[in-house]
Amino acid sequence: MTEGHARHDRHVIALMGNPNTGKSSLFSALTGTRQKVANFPGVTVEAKIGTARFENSEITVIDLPGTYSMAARSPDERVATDALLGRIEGTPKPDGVIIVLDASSLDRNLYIGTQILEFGLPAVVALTMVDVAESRGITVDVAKLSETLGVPVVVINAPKGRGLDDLKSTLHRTLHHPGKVLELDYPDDFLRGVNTLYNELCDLGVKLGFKPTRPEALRLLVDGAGPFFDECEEVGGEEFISKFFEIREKAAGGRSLSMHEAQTRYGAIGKWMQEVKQTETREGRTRTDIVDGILTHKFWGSLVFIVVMGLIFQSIYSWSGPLMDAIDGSFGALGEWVGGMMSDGALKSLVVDGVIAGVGGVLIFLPQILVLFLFIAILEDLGYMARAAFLMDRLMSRFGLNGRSFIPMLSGFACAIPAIMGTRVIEDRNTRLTTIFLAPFMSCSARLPVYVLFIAAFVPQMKVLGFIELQGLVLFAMYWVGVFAAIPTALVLKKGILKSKATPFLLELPSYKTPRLKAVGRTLWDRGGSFIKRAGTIILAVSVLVWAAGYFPHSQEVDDKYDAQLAEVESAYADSILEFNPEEDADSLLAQYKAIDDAHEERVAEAEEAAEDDDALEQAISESKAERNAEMAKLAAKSADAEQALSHYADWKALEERRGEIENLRGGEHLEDSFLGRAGHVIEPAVEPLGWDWRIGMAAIASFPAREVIVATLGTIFNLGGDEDEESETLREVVKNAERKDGSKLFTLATALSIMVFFALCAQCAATLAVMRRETNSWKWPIASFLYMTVLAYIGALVTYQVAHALGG
Amino acid sequence: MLEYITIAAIILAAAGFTGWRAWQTLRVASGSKACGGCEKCD
Ligand SMILES: Nc1nc2c(ncn2[C@@H]2O[C@H](COP(=O)(O)OP(=O)(O)O)[C@@H](O)[C@H]2O)c(=O)[nH]1
Ligand SMILES: [Mg+2]
Repeated sequence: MTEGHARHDRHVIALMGNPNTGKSSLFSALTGTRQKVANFPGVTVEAKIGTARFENSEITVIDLPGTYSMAARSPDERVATDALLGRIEGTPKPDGVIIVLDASSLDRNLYIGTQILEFGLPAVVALTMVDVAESRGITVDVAKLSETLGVPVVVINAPKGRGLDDLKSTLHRTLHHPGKVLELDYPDDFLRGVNTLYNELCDLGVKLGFKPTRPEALRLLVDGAGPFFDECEEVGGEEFISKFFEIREKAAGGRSLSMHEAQTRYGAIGKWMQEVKQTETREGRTRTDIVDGILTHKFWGSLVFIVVMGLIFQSIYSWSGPLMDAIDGSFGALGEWVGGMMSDGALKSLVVDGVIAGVGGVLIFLPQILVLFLFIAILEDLGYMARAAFLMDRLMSRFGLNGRSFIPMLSGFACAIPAIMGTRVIEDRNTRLTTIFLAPFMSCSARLPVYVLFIAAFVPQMKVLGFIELQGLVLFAMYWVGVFAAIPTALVLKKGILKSKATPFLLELPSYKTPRLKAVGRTLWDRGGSFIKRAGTIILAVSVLVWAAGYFPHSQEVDDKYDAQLAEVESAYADSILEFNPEEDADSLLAQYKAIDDAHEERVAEAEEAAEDDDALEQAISESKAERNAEMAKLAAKSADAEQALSHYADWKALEERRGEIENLRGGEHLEDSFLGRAGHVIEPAVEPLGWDWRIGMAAIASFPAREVIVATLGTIFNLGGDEDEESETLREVVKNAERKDGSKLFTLATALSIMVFFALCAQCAATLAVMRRETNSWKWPIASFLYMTVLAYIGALVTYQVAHALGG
Repeated sequence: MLEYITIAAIILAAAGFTGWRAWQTLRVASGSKACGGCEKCD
């Protein structure tokens, strides 16, 4: 290698094309960047940048959001144009472009292809999905295509790693040649309009601060709106605007400008295709067509959708239950173990009641999250989700929503934030705002732990119609609560303040693919990882703060009072045991009673595991009790000592119980007296109608940073408040046994349902509101959303509780 | 004594982290942070 010639070539290229054509796969293959690739339109929302190397050159690759056209109407499309022209801060200006075209729908892909080629940058076409095209009987003449477009065409298959070297070397060559501008046969008036406007824009260029291009003039002429138009209006003023509309009218010649554009482009594409593409006429329809016919059918498709989703929710219960119990149990044991190692005091309480009860309470739901996303990842990769989108598209247009809203809304079931960011693909401003407003109604994965906890604790484990698990059914229903609330909201918004006309939306149906283990694994890893990360960061931090608020001031007075009570009962017991002076060994007698009692407890625990329903359990318990009493009586009948021992055993048991009661009362009083408790009593009247007490109310408020915090907070509060037994109990049992001050159960089915409905509808997520502010550029929307959702959640919870309570829940 | 210092330190750390997250959230709101708050790029 001669040192003197070691010159480095540096290039920047942009990847452009329709969504779901394989851009991101190509990007990953070129740059080796780890990145999520899903078989779903519109995964790429923001541009990604990476570096590829070829021989002695370094190529910066920009993965742009996929769009169907370069129209400047939607922010996404504007991003594409701006990035192509190097006008985005922090993103280098491309000196070439790879146009990714899907061979299986070449006609439609070429629409944006022609638009990009008009920019005249050095370009290479990467033809993807040739395998899919072939399976549908479509063959593309690559040489002819290259000749017609005037740019090199390389066949690639990025997931399989095919054609990449060829692409790189072709690209390398192309980058050293000037680009060619594609010339299409526009009508004369139209072309004149473009040229006149281009001239005007060049005049404006000084004030705009950049040099406009001819394709942009074309876009502006046709679209007549959008961010670029606003900029021109700002710097050009009235004068420019009046000229602009004059030019437009002349160019249109009484017809619609977008018609002119579309006709010219599709006209050219149609002509090219006769030469380039061959479709083998097959007899009948392909298998894909038949399957699609069913899956997108109004009735059958909906039926399949509901059955598939229903099955997913069933499996969430039946699959993750045992795993969840295991994790739950081990956190209980961990709490016990750590508790045993540390001496009593504030630090022990922080670790056991704050961290383990709080964070552990949330972490136990990891299996549910994994099972849910396992199914979603498989369906996504299979290509089913796009069919579901197609189905929903029709349904949603009934409610005045653009079909494009569906894809962002669907991702809202994972998290509202990507959903809100995904609305950038929607060009109509009002539709976009409506979709942003509706996104938080979709039940995100942070709500799952709340549902699962309360369903597991309060919805009986039984089958409906003989095969449907009631718990899974209720979970499924919870996901519909948000959807049903969103529908009237959409209607009001779209017919009222955010009117807009429906724009047609072409949704692409990707071909079915066998789900890839790697892609599914990646999704699970990501989801599980971020769930654990959230538990270990924000949830942990808030749990510690909630613990502190619930622990302090921890007055000595309270402690003294209960210490005195403890001392009293203990000394009373000590007196009574002194009087017991049996012939036989007292300890051995007491131990025999204890053994009988323990055996009973064990039988009860076993019955709890095995029992089919509550009735069976109750019967098992009473049978065991009878057995214990008989055995004790038998022992007592043996001698007078034994009889006396029985009464002392009863005393001892009573003492243990009394001790537990005193400790619980102590915990309860500390909690009531804590900062959290004092604040809680202020808000209690507001949440009472929902069937809540102050503890639930405070837990709901504390969950503003992240919804799952409510579960953590309840865990901490009930642990602090002594609402737990000595034995390590699962959070589910703690919640089940929690009591109000009057000794009645705090949670009933009605309370549990009211909490779930509240969480299905409320806007308790700070990050979502922040993103809403950014994406709408105004505080108006997040504030409106918060108020609206909170009021709705309150009313929903109120009605739920009152109705369920009246029905005896 | 040592116990209370440890507790105070843990609480301060938790408060600091929560504050930092609140600040990040506000940065997202103002647009100076392109992405954030969600599970994906938390
Ligand atoms: N059969 C086939 N699948 C491909 C090809 N290229 C990409 N894919 C798959 O198509 C799906 C969408 O690809 P992606 O890169 O996300 O497309 P993007 O939306 O344009 O970024 C992924 O499941 C890829 O694995 C190809 O040449 N043939
Ligand atoms: Mg992509």
